[in-house]
Amino acid sequence: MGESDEQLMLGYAGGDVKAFEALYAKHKGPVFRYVLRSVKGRGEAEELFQDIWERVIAAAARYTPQAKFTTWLYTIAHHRLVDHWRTKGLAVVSIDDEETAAPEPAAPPSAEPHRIAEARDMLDRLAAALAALPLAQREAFLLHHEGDLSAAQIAAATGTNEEAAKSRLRYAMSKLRDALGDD
Amino acid sequence: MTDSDDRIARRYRELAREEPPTALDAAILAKARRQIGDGPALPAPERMRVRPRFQNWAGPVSIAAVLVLGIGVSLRMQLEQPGIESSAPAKELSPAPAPASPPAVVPAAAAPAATATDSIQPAAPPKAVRQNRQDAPRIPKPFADQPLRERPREEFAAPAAVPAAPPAPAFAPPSRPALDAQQAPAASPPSIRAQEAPAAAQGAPLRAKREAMPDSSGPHELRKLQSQEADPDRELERIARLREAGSHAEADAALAEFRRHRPDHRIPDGMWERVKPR
Repeated sequence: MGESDEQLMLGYAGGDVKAFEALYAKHKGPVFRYVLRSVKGRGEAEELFQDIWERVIAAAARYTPQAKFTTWLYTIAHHRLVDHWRTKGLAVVSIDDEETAAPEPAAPPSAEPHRIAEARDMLDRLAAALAALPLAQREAFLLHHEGDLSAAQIAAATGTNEEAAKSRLRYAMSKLRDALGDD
Repeated sequence: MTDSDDRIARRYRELAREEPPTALDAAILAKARRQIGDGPALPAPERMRVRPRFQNWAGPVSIAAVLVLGIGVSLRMQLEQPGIESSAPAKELSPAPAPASPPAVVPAAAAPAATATDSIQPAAPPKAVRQNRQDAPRIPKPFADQPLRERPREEFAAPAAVPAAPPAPAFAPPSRPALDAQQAPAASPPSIRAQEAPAAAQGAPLRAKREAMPDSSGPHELRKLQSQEADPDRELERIARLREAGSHAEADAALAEFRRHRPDHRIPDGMWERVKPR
């Protein structure tokens, strides 16, 4: 079907459940993986994922396509994650602060690049390196690779500026390259 | 993007294969269907496809019609009362006591807001919904339970009721208590009608709204009306004050409500410290 995400969302707001099903089928995987890699456990991820889509459903009647649908969707997801991190007492600072000049927080020993490099499987190493990224950088990476958001859209979804979003992406890629020995 | 970036992206795509469980899919899709099916602002999907535009307005228009009807009936009931009282001595009719007149005027205009504010205080049902969510298994059971079935109705009813709200003040000013109070400023023992009138004027819009919303979720609808109209910062401030006052249950419910209505609103860190769940 050739309808855009925005049209599908409006269709759902107008009562077309099929439109929502199409929208959900298209975005459930990326959103789920974005959430899954942003929290510790799968159970938490499933709960948050469900909550995010409930918010989307609840907000459908008020949806107006002012921006790309995915930006709106991941903005909701981002806010839900931030709430989650805050209640867990995690450092939201690392999300909001611009990290371009700040030193990176140390990765946990088990996730240090040189130990990861000993891992046998490349994908395992990538997953570990991704998990070891600071929240903001990991989020930028996931929004880019799962949500297919540009730096500007990442900035809009996470409430930061475009330069910071680009910087986070750059740091993330650099660390993943280091972890994979992929220079 | 460099080649190595492309390689990382490709490897990530190989890695990224996780999908949500099918039970979760089913639960979310069921919720989406139920929202459409139950929401008064959104009609049944099969009829929707035939005439979507008309159906879009059907909900709000019908709610507005019920509101107008309810207010009209209550006004008529008030107008009928003077007939009974007119058999009483004239001096008992005319002197509406001075203290009674402001309440007679104010509630007529501010009845929805006042009652909505009052109804915020208990805030129990939203908490019950959240509580239910926490107690019950995450998926898909909560969706089969009643509290979540109620959520769509309150979430969709609120936006639909917003455009319907303005008629209430427009009808309220000509209500008899207000007119009587203006015409009879002299002090005298308050008549029964003068005492009952503010309550009636206040109660009429509320009753009309409750009639428009079929179950016992009336106060929630009014609360949503208020919260939707309110400035988000003011709403957050109100939640913060609830926290400071120790009303954590109400604050939790209000915060959850706020998040439902404004999922994409960013709560500043300073404010979050004041409103976050304790």
